[in-house]
Amino acid sequence: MRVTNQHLAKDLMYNLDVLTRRLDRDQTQLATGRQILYPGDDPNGTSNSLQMRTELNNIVQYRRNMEDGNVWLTATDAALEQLGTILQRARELAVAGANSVNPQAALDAIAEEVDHLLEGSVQVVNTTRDGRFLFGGHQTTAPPFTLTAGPPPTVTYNGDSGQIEREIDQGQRLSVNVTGDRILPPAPAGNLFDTLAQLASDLRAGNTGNISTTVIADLETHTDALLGLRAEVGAKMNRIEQNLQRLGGIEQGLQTWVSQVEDADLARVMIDLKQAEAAHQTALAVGARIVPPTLVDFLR
Amino acid sequence: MPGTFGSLEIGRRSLQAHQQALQTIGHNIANANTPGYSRQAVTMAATDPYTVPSAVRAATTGQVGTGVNVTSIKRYRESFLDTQYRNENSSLGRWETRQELLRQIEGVVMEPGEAGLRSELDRFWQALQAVGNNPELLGPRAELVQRAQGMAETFRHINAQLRTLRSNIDGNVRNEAREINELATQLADLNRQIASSLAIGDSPNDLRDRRDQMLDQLSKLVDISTVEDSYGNVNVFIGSVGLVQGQDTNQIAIVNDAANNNMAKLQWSGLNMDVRIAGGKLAGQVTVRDNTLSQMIGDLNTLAGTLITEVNAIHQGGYGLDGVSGRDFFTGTDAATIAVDAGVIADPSTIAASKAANTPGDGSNAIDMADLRFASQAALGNTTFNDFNRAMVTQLGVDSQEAIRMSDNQTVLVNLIDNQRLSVSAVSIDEEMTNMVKMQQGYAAAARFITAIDELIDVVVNRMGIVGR
Repeated sequence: MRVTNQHLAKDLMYNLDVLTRRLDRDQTQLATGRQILYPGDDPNGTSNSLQMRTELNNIVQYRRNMEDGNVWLTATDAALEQLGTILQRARELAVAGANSVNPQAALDAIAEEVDHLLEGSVQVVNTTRDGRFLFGGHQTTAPPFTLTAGPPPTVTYNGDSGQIEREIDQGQRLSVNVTGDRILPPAPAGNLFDTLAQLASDLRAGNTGNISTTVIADLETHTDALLGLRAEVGAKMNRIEQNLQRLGGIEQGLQTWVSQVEDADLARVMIDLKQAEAAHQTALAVGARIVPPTLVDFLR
Repeated sequence: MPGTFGSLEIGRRSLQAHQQALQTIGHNIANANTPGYSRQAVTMAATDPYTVPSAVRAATTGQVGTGVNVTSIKRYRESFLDTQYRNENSSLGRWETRQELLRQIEGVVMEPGEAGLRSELDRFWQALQAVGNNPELLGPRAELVQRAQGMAETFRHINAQLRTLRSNIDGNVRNEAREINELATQLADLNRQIASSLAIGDSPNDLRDRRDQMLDQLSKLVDISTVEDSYGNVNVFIGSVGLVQGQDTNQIAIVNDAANNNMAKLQWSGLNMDVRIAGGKLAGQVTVRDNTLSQMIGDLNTLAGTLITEVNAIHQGGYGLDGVSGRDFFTGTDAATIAVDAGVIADPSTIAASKAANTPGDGSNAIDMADLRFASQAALGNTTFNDFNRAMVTQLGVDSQEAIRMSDNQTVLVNLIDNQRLSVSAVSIDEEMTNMVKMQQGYAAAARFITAIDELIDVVVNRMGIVGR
């Protein structure tokens, strides 16, 4: 094949162009740390990257949902525990008051404390978190329980039975609230506030018999019911905990995967860059040697 | 028998032939770097010999040489390689253009990354869930409005960019159609010059070079086939219609196609026939304009439209903090018009997060809206919003990758053919220098020969017959 000067120059330009593009690609990969800059660089990888990033975002949001739900559950559990303590104290007072040797003055003093317990318990069930009432169902912006002074004092529930839900995984929603109507089961047995009011009025009336026969038993029933609620709340907290761990594992796996798909393998790119650099320099050096000389340089 | 003066004539012919050869070498060297130039060489041949008249030819030799003559100036060119080059060049033009345009579209969609539609959709779903978690708080609601506005903005931005790109490409299509017409006119003109030059027996080498180069240019724009007729005219065809026929042209008319957003449609002027474009830059541009971009703009509109309808359907069934239902979240119908409802922007508390009136703690309607991300939409070919977007981006990536590969391959192929062509046609300085030395020596020798003959004549004229003087 006849090789001409134009031919040499053209081939040199083409080869330099190819090498420069390779240098540019390596340089960009190193500077950005990414191997997919455009979908066309790796359509399959792009598709995977888009899907996995969406999945990662979903998981991040599930985690936020669950952490937020956990705060609700923890606050609910704490309030229920406080309520339990109040019932415990009420039971102690009821047992002390049932003892018929107490003079009326002592019973009145106990009744006074029971009144405080009643007020305290209403305060507990009107607990707020971030200004929102925990036990009102969907009615979170107004106190769900109101205490009307007696005699006998009555407590009414203004909330509803709405479930506050958190999405904890695709298609799975977990209710994170305990609605007030469950703390306050409707009559006939009488709710715990009624029982406390009953206790106070029995103490004032010296009706110790009723205390030992009914009130103490009622208080125990309420304590059991509360424990049941706390067990439910605890079970949900456990479920969230487990889900967090499970999603954490998946998240880590996804992140590794995303990184494998998207990130440039720096070692490999560096080696390629070095090779491209060497080839580029060689091409330039060879070009500088072969392009200028012609027979003209040797003729006198 | 040729005499002494006959020998002088041989010397003159030799001088003239070598001078012409040197002139051609000079022309070659001068055009060593001219694109499209084909090297030329003189063809020398011995002139007709002189037959010595003799009855029996006993005492003398027969025919006597009379010197040299330049019979023609040859142009080194392989027309088969030209045809191959133009075919592959059309294909290169098409893939190269397609690759550049697809890369521009890739720049518009900005995937994979945190600025594309995928990311905006994800943020929108996340913000909806945040409202679902805390429906009473205004903070997450305001954030949702921001995210939704950001997403709508991205839809509108991508849509506008794609449309701008499409009209830019359309502008290029129009320009190239005009360029083709211009080249056709010039080719017809060259045909006329070449044919008339051939008719009087000349070899119009440089005009042919210009015509071949123009055909190369034309082949990059559009796929052409050529036939040279017996008069030296090159007839150029696009599809089956002659663009250049002898010394006439069929011009291409640019028609605004009402059925295709008033984009340019190329028709044969006067023939009422579409120009069938299968290659060249023009084909790359037309396919990206009419297929890729129109498809993407349509897909984006479907995506935005379905998102608006679906979100609004759930939003209308829910209640804002003020207990009112039946309101829209988004306005608009497609990617160009999507926007967050003005009422929602003005007062984020109207976002219908609840399923019932006056239940501030209920965020389930917002969570239902967020759950749309898992729902397969019939309007999107039974895929989810994110999957539809992903399919769109992946298709673009696949097309772009193919275009990159094809244009790389075509570049190599065109280079290969061009090198073969150059190996036939291009000027080699070394070769020209060698020939120059050869011709220079020939010229010098011819001049020396004339001097020698001159001395012979000098002997005859000035020194003969003066013996003993």
